Amino acid sequence: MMSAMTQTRGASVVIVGGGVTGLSAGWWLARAGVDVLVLDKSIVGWEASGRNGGGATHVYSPFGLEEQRLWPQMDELLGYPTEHQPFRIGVALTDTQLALARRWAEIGEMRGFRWESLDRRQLKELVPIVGDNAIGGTYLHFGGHANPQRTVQAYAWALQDHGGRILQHTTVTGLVQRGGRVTAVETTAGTLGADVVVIAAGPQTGAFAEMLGVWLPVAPARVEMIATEPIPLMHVGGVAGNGLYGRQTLRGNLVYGGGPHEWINVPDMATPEHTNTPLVRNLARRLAELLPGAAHVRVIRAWSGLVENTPDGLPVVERLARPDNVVIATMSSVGFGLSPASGRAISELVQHGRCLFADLGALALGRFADTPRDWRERAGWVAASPAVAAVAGGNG
Amino acid sequence: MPELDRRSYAGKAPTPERHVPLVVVGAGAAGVAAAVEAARAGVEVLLLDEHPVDNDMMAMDVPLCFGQRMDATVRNRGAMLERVVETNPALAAADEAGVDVQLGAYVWGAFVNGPTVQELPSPMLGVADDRRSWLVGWDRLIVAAGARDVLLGFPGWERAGTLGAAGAAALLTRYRALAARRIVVIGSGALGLHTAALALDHGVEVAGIVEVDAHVRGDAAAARALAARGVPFFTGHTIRAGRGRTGEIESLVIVAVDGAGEPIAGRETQIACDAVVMAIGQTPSVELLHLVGARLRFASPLGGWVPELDGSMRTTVPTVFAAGDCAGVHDAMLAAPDIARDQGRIAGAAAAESLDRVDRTRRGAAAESRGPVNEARHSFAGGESLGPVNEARPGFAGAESHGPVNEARPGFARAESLDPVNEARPGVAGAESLGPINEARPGSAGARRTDGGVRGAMSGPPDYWQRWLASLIAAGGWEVNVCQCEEVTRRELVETKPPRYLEWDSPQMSARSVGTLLRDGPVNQDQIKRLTRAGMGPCQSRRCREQVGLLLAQAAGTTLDRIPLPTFRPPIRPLPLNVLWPDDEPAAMREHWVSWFGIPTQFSPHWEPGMVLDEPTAHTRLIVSDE
Repeated sequence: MMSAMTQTRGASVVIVGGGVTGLSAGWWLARAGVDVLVLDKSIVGWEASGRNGGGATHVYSPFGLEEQRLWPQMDELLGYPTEHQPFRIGVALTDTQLALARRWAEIGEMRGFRWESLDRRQLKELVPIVGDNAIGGTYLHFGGHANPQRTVQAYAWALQDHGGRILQHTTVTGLVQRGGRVTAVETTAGTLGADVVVIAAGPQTGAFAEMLGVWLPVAPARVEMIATEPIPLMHVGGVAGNGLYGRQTLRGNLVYGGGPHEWINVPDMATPEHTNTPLVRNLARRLAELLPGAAHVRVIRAWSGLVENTPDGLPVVERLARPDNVVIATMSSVGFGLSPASGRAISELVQHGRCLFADLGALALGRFADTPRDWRERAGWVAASPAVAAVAGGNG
Repeated sequence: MPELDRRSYAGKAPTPERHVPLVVVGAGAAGVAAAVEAARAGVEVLLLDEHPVDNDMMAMDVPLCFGQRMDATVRNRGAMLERVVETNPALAAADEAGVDVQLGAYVWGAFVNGPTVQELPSPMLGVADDRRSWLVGWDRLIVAAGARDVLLGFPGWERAGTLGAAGAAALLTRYRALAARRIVVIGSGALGLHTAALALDHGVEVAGIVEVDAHVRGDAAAARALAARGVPFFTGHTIRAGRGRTGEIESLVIVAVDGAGEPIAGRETQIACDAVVMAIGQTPSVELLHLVGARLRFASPLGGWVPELDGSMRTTVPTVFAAGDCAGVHDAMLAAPDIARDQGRIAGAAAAESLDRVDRTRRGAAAESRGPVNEARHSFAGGESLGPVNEARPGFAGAESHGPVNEARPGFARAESLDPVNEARPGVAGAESLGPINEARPGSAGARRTDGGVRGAMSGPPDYWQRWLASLIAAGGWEVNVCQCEEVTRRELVETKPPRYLEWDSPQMSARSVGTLLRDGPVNQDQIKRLTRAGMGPCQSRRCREQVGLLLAQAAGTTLDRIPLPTFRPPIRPLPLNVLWPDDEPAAMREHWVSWFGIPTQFSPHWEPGMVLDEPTAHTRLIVSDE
């Protein structure tokens, strides 16, 4: 530990959080020649960034067009495989599911993307393991999916290839402020100087904002996924529906999540163990309903992850007014697929003070200025405790 | 008061279909002793054991490495049930003591409240047979899950006929269904000698015992007795390859090694055989203990990761106990089942006593309500005798108060062990003293060293495994699959190659390896698993877990105890979607199910701010609106 303290130096840009957003930002900065250091309390991409559905179809977002433009190039840009695969198929078992799938497709159409409506016969030709319970679906000629685990490591390695640095197993304990700026971060590996600090710390982002006197309402929750043994590859791996998100991996595993989340309190900067619940059974059922031809396939693992949400479920990506050398980023539980674009936006906020390719006005922190401290209780996300309700006042 | 988020897990956690004061997992010597001890103290006990295991599961080397050497009789589930009962007389004793014994029941998960889960009404186990799954709530849990074989690969080990010692023993004794006539045993320690004798006793020829060390490691008298029965010993030898014209092992080629473990040219011997039994060591089956959050530590003399226990076999989770091989396995336990039985009795008595302290009256009531126990006999969860078990269920489901369970909150013990520093450095835990229980045990027989040993101060089985691995690499090379399921070779593992099906190559990728990862922090098996896929297949890393760890340790210039425990995830048995399928899904679960959080503005098109895209639930329509 002592040697780490003496050897580690700060960087022009220090990124707090080695999740997919921080890593992408670090990679974009490093490839632009910026001296960048990413800090993570454990291993890069170890939390929700490396354990999610891998979806890359978020055309509704301000980052959506850039997401769609970048993903097909990512393997080449990074120099490492992300397993990105294009296209999505939506399977509907009910009229309302079909309406949702079509609405999702139409939002893409509004941005100029192509899609087709599928009847049951067409659906079964494309996805032979759907059942007679399917009523139809959609074939999106946009969007796609990638392997989260491989992608986070690809960002990390590519960042290093461009001269950036990563410090794992290093917890940030404080932010040093002087003259209206953050001048350094305090860590378990010593105090590290920085010209600009990016905070992209997932569920802990709100706590770091708090250290700067900035109110960022985020609520952490646990979500769960299951993975099956491999089955023969489908024509399109990005098949989902019936209240599940997920994909077939290039190895052939069916990897799906969905259903109820559990809002939790994260007591401190530590991330708790990844615990599953009997929800894995409910997920198995939904998947067997979605793909009856695979009902006999074995589930070989499940996992859980912690994600954070803002009150409106939309990201916050902003360069603060004060301290003015800090960028704060939470993707509000939808970060993986958008990461090529969100990282680019952050790197531009760091270098130019603004995002050059998209209008981030909708993602500004100011929209929560009047959000009261007890917003989670008011929204019914967590049970109101009388004691908390009594002391909680509006933030104003 | 606002309505609580209907799309959250709040209020949707399942009620177990049965709640039992004490569940014992595993009906080996320790588990049966624990169950009987607690039942005699008046506790209602459910004893679960997965044998007889379904043929498909056995074919995947789950839970033990059976090496495709089961004969056709294992498909006859009824006959197998009879054999399992016949060959384990202690089951009858348990039944007489009033224990509810369920065989053919896989325990695939253990769920407890903790920092990220607060909704469970009680701790519960996921249980399944070949047709369905269900949940069993418990106040106390005794894990007596046994041990697994440590397997090391060699060229040709994918062929049918490569077994583990525990898998072979199960087929020889419990199932009487070993489809092999002439075996070679790998390892001459107590486990190898025991396995050879067991085979001979069951009419199976032992064509040789192969030992990488220069001397027989086990008891000299036992070795002489085997030699007298015609078993040849090949000390100072390692495996070159398993051969066969088809997908089966037909012979094993071994080669003499020098003092440094290097093969000596021209000193090869081919042994005709139809099975190779790996008997170099075993490691405790700690999956369930890990899932409930019991703190584990690495203890070389006890076969690897073991639970931290107090004098009453209690883990760091106060409601969970461990007994038998899963609490730590060593050679003396093979010859003396009394060691496991004593541990079981201690755990059973301690669990009963702690229940007694919690609620004396309730326990009495539960014991009375059990009724004529013997009618149920050995109910076979997977077979035709489901009746009595099902009948018993309604009485337990809703009637139990969960007070004491919630009081104990076993999951919160996990929070104490969250120190990220320790998490990243399991070696710290490994350096601790063995604790009161473990000190009392006979020392490891594996302490003898040879010149071919690896660096490091560690002694005991892992040191011996590392010697074997070094010799196998020297004799068999780097192009040997370490992970059979995902076909990852030793080389691909230490070079952190992406899986072959990606057909990926780039200068950047080629420059990466375990060595470059080491610059960023201690080597982590879960991370390597994600990159190479070693350990991510249907056998759930049962065949490769230890050898992946040993290879990483070797590549990192360290020892196995310094490699963090790779996580275990439910289901810890590979179970089909339609078996996990819950028949008892709460209506609210289906009614309010959405794929993501159900925050109406989360997926609104940014060019139409305020548009709500409300994901429909079972009983709502899609709402697209501008607010």
